[in-house]
Amino acid sequence: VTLDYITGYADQISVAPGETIRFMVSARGATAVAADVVRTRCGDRNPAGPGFSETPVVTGIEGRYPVEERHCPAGSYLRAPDSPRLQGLESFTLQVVVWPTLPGRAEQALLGTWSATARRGFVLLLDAQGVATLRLGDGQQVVDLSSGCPLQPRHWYLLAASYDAASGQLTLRQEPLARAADGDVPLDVKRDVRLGPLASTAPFLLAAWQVTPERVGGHYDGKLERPRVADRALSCQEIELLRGDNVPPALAQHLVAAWAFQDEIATTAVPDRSANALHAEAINLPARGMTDSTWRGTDRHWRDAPAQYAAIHFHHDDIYNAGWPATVTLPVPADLPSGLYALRLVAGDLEDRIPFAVRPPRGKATAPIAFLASSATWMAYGNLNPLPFDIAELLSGRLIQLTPANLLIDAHPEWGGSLYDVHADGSGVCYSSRLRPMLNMRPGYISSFGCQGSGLREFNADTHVVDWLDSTGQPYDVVTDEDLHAEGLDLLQRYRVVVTGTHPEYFSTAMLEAVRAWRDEGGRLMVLGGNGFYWRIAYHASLPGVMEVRRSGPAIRTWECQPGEDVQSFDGEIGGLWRHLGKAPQSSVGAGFVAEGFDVSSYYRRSPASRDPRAAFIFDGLEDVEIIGDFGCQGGGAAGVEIDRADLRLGTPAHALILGTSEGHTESYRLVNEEISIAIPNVTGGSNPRIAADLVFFESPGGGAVFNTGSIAWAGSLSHANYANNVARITSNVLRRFLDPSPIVRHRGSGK
Amino acid sequence: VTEAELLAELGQTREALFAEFDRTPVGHHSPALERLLLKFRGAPVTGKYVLLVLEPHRRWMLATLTGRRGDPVRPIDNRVFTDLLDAERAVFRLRWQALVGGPPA
Repeated sequence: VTLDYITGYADQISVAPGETIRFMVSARGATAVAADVVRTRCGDRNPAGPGFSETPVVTGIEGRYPVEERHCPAGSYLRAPDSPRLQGLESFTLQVVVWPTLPGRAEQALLGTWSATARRGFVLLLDAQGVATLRLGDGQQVVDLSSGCPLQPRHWYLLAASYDAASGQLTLRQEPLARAADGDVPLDVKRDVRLGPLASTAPFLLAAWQVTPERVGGHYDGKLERPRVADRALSCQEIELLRGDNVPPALAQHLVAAWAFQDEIATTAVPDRSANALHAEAINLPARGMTDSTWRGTDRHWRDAPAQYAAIHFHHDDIYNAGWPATVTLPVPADLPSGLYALRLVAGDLEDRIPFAVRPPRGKATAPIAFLASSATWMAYGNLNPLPFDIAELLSGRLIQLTPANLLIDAHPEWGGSLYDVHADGSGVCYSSRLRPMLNMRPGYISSFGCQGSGLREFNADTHVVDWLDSTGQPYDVVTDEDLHAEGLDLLQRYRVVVTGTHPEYFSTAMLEAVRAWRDEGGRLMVLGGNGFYWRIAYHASLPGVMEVRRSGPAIRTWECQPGEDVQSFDGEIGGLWRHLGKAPQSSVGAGFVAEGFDVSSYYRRSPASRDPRAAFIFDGLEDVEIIGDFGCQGGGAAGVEIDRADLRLGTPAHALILGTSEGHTESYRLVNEEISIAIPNVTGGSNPRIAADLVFFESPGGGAVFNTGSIAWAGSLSHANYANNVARITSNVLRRFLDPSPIVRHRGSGK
Repeated sequence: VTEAELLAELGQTREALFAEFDRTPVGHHSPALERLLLKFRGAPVTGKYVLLVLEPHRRWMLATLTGRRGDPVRPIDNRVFTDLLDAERAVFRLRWQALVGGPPA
């Protein structure tokens, strides 16, 4: 099945006026596209919603551009530098410890100089049946020496292969490190061959081989550990000696390379500890900081026990950067207002919009309000697909809807998954890059995990907030999570009010600390979403546009870290929920994730606390209203999709006002895992009173305040009745007071 | 299961279950209907009914999932809906029929 499409990605998510942003486009079924820039106003195509809205912007790039289908080179591997010491080897030993995860998927390269088209060089591989094999070729003749016994998935083996060019003898050793499976015994095989020179012009690669000078293939799935290359055929005893991290001096002169996967984990460098310093480079972000065959369960951090973390986990579906050439280069006009924009691409029936934020000029604010675009959330969910996902309909409580985007994501695993997906081998996707197409990060995208009605999440749900901001007429800037991570408190200090999107879920330490510090020195934060401030993430120190999560500990999670692998490789911080790292969302913004459900939403009932004079400004004009948000295009209510509650034990400030609480959620709403320490039967909306959203307000020490809706669906109610409704009124009331620079102070004796 | 066994398990009549579902395909349900829907919605992915969006928020085509990446759906060409709740009602009947091996479909 081949589907026509236009898609692409931008080299930046946030660009300042006067800077340049590039768009990389691939198309099938079109040879040219019409391109222009639009300001994204609302991406909701629901006829009952505010209406899909975008405004063309003249930038000078309007025009037709030739396009073609571009290859996305998925698959992680290591590349050693070109060196005659590797590529000129005639006699050699290759050895490596392996933990294959998909043996038998296809031929998978482990290490060597093999060129699949020149059929020259040497490589240790797993054959199409998962059998360890040494392959040699002189450009004419290809010979294989196979162990004859397939490797068991997720078992550790030492593989060692040698070739003595003078005698023509090949050897291969396959040694299971734990004898778990019947017949798992060490195997030694030999063969004599007569071959010409092997010298290869192909690079020495690990976990892949060269196909053409432009392409690699033969990707491996699984872990590799302690790869070594020697310049002659070693004895069994010498191979044994090379397994450790300290090379005996007598062997050192024959050691060509010994890559230390436990070194420089936070980088793309893979140091070679041999005298040759043939440091390799990791391409497409294989997972690092992985436990190796020696991990004892006594340490959980690669910094504490590096020798137990000498493994890298490769996947044939890892992708960092699609690397396509730029189709459209946009010099952003110096006077372009900050906002959410997209490059619009159209060819006949095919179209796509590649979103980006235009931030204010660097170092400046152009408005008192910042909309903090949840670019980390957008990336985390990038290409999450409801198929094939066997619990999708159970989660949503309604039939799954598949759009053309869903079918395209399914057809293009090489575009990479979301941080909710698992790789083809079942291990979790812990890195997500935006340098690849992400088809659900689009205006117009409909999700089966929104709610009945508009069915919006993440990027497209956030356009409801942008649409509402536009309706207020208040000027605002757009900044992204990446800007916040890079600039921290300095960025926030330029604003009086920060408004979040519908799902500000992912925060690096720098982001979270900046928000909390700004809050406490007078910042005014409006959290217009649910499941906020939830997971810790890391950004890479040198690679732009990529983030990491480690799904560790109790949490709503679609995969789990392997034991001992919950430390982020990008920065060495412990991964997981902020709740498990001492900064529960309740302690940041008053409420934290409690339940999710994707069928219908509900409403809030005002609390007696909402009558506190401290909250009078919030309910200005709504004094007689008891029920808030019993309408909306995200499930018919303002409380829904993912909902958050206050909890004093988790850090909701004691003086916080719980202005209202939602009620009447359906059976589709399930308590989140971290709320369940012992398995209980009443985990759904009908039977568990914890399942509700709290509307929270509290003042912060420096004259600032936090207002938190605790619900993703809130923004879907803002446009109801042409923005004249109690949800919009409350939100506008809060915005108006938060814009007023006079300190928001809780006078002693007022309230509780 | 037979229809009689299913209805005994759910403690409900067929007419009542259908009437309730037809009234509210998505949202609050009685315990009996919820239990039935968990069976339907929790079915394995292969052969599971889904909707293909023909026109966003306007037209959907019924399809079944194959469970295979790269070739995920089998459209059912003559089943096009212009109302999502009608699609839910139709799938409810198809699933009922498949579960108890008889009408109504």
